[in-house]
Amino acid sequence: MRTELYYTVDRIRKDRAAVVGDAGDEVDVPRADLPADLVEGAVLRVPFDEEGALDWAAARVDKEETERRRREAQRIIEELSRRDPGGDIEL
Amino acid sequence: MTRTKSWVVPCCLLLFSAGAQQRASDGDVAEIIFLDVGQGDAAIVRSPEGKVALVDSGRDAGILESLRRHGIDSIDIAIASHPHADHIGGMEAVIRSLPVRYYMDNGVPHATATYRGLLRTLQQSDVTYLQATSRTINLGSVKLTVLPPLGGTDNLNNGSIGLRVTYGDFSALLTGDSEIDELNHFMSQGVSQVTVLKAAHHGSRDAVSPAWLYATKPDVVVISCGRENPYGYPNPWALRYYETVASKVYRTDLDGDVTIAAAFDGSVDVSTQLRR
Repeated sequence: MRTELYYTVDRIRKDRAAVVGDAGDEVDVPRADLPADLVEGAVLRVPFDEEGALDWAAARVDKEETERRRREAQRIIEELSRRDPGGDIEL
Repeated sequence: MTRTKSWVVPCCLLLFSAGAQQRASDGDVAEIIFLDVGQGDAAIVRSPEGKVALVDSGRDAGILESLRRHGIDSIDIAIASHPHADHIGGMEAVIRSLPVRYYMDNGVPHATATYRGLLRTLQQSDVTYLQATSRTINLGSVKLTVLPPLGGTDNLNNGSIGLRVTYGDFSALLTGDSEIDELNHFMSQGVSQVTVLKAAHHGSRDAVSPAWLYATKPDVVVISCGRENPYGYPNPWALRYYETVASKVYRTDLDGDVTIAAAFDGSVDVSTQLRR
């Protein structure tokens, strides 16, 4: 049984953070419940509490996983960019 | 010249969609439809020839129902202003479900599962990826001028692609979630007066300034935001600003889908899904 899940900070709005789970679910979390060094794009490891609910206060930023995912996205973007014919487009 | 009218839903919705299609196929009207996708952004640009651009896609696959409602079964170009989930959440479903010829985004890598899923879907497709460089997309007789994003910032909002839509004397400006820094950047590149302005960042206070409104001088403003959203959009201060400058301000949370039908001489008819 997994003891924690990955959630990624999608966007921060005032005192709220919208985080997206690896299953694609989105959760709106009070900013104050999350680590202080939070930035958009940060990957969080979120453990379960004793009752089986996500324990946002115990979440921590996984910098290594954040960087790995960012690099993967960058690699795919560069690959896709090779399809760009350049210049103006006629549709 | 702006003429407005309202329609009642749901019984008139199908009639409304059919009417819009008929106008477009008449060959003399370009349309921009700002879709009510809840708290998010999505808009359709349809040329008189029936060419379609989708600009952002709301939060989820519900966008497919919106597209179907407006009679759209293929996309010539899909544009993601920036990779926040409330703008790209439905894009993967669109690319999986409909023929899409081109896709453009700002090329800023985001670590979410939403963006990763979209990129992998694009990878497995034959969709032609376009970078957000300074270029023109000729959507039939409608011109989409790409305003490259500010770049060099950690603020994803300020990496939004700007898009100027032109059809004859009609013009519109869509800037995703741009905040003041990026709006200033667009102004430094020479933004001019437009007929229709999509309020940046859902009508947030950090996304409008006197200088921006002086430069764009919109006749119509459309704010895309969700009913009773947790962020308080549109900001009351920003809303007053828009109402002071524009002759009419529409909101997808109150008006539902907002359809701008633009004639070549620059005049527009605005119809809304809901009656306030």
